[in-house]
Amino acid sequence: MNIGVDEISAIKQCQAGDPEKFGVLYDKYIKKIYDFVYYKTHHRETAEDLTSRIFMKALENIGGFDPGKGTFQAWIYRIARNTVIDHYRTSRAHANIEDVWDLSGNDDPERDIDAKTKLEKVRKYLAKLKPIERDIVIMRVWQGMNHKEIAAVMGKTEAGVKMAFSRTITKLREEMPLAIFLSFFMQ
Amino acid sequence: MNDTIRQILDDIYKLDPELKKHEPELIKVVDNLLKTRPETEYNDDFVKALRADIMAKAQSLKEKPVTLRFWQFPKLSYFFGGAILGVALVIAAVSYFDRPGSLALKSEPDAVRPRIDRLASGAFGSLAGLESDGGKSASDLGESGTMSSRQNSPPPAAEQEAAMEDTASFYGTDADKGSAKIAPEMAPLGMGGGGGLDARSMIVPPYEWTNYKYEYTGEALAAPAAELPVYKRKIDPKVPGDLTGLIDGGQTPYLDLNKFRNLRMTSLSASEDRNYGYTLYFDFLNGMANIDMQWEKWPQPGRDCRDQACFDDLRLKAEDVPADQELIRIADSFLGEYGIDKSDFGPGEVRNEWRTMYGAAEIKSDIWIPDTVTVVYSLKIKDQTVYEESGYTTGLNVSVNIREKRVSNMYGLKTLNFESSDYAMETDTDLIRRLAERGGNWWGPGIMDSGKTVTVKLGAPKVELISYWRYDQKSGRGEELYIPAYIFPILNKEDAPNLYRDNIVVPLVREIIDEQEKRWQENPPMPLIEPMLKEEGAAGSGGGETGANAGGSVAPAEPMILGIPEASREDAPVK
Repeated sequence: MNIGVDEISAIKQCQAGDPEKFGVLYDKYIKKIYDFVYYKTHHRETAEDLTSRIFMKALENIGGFDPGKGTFQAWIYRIARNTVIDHYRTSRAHANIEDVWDLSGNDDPERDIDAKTKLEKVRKYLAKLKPIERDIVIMRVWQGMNHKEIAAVMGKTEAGVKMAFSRTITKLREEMPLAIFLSFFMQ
Repeated sequence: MNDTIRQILDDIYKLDPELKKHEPELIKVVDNLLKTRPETEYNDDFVKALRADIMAKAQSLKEKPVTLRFWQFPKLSYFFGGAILGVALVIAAVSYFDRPGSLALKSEPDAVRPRIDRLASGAFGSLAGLESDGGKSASDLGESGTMSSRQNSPPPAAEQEAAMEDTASFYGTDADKGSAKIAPEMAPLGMGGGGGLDARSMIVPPYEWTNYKYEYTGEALAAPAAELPVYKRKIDPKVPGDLTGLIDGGQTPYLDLNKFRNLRMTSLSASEDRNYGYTLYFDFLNGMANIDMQWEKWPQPGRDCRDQACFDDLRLKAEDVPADQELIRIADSFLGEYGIDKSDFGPGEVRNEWRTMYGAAEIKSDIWIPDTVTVVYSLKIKDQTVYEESGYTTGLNVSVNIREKRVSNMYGLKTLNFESSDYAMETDTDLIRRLAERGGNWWGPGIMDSGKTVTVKLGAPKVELISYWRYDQKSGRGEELYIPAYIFPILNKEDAPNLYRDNIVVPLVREIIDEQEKRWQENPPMPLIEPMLKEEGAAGSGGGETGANAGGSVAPAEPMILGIPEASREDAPVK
């Protein structure tokens, strides 16, 4: 992903005391971040609430972001991941829950009804993945991010992300029951 | 097959060409993932509304004056000249940091955090003989974190807690013993000392001996990697310059600073002069900052009490304690208000041991409801959560005053730069399981035949980190190490409300396990036959008969751990 001049300029101006330039960053990343949060919550109101918090946090802390150490995209995705984890851990009072995939369908009254049927099929095997593996799948497959971008978000090496993604797909292949395969295949 | 699937699979084949023979299945996997991508209900109205909110916030930030960054503290010295030191510190701090932002406690500005420098394997020397920091840090052991200050200090909280746990059965109705044991953390509100009332230390366990038998109930243990990184917190003291140059002519109303050589500031404290004000404490040597309530500026309930009835009237009720979500909201709000960056920490979790005790108590009024409850934001190092040896998470601690519904204290803020070095891990899963089933690295007291036995069920472990404290002979300073460990969750905490642990910890570094095994072999827990009994009038001494047949009876039993009278223990409190 190319980082545009506008983005770098906006960051610098924000850091120089003109946070109103944050609008450039907002326009560029709002959909990606909202989608990412939705993929981890499956509930529109929750996704909107968390997305609001994420951008507010980013705005408040933009002074602490160093473009020389990583991309803005990686930085705001990290805020997004942590915010979603915060949401589930505080609202469910359970330390091991990181996103909606860690909940069973019955435990999640917030989940959008329309999405339920479709998601229940995929959750049977996606829920078996570790949260990090799920995030990699979401970013790689559903958001079309490349390994380098994902690595920056996850704080890992590009090779490490490639390996983790490959293992995850292999794991899904091995664990996905034939019936589920067929149910998708026949749709 | 579309281009997206092709690209994804090509990437996978580059790593493992063998997978190509499974291509039809892999195509289905990726295709199914793509097909099940949810519709996200992206809403333009929401986007516009949020944009308006963001812009309004941006406008307000533009007008906000103060930023504090811990790594910039040394620069404070540039502002001290010609002013009275304490006043100058506060004024300078406020006037210097003039950009919007937050108090980010880190050694390097804007670094990808936490910053970790990787060293060669075994770079921290032998890890055998490590001593737990019990959730405390070097600065808690004295400003310089030296051994002498540690030796002269009361045992760290977790050690005391362990001692409480070990001797819990003896305390119940023996108020003197109970209070003596817990005294270091029990400085009451309004009585000075700054201790505050801690939820765990205020609870007096009921008089009943309980044996705990640990039983692993998870799936077959998986061995950890043969080598894993151990982390050491890297302390780079940010000490402001020559102190004598900071004050006009080196002259103070008290003494002549010019007579001192190379005088540098190692710590700083400053207090807010307002109601509900705070005292800030900065430890430049150890890169740490604490915030405490400014005692004089906070209400002091009980200050005018002269009898027990008065104190009893002030006791809180269980329903006075807000729900966890509210406590976390208060703590979050405090951190947000003071710009304290928590991105290196997990979400807030409330320490609720008192609720467990309260729930299990037959006589609810026997349970002291704490005046402060702590919200802990556990430290994260490379996605791993840091625990104390006791099995509780450790990190940023924010205490909420229940009466005032305000944060009263915060500690645990520190620079987060680390070095990492690989060490050999124990991969014998049978041994790891045995260690877990004897209580982990705190195996506690022996079994008493007359006590009741509770089977504590342990679930499948996670590999996380535990904090240790080590004294470095060369530098004469304390070091904080973070060691990979299996954290076994206790699954039936409700069956063991008096067990002050949520998890059982087994450190995985082989050297540490070897040493624990050696200690276990050389000094196994002795079976406890009966509580020791003393004859009336023979109170006080830890000497005398120690057997079960001490004869007579009737005075309360002397606390004993591993068959050793409490008064003989090195960490026995001074009575």
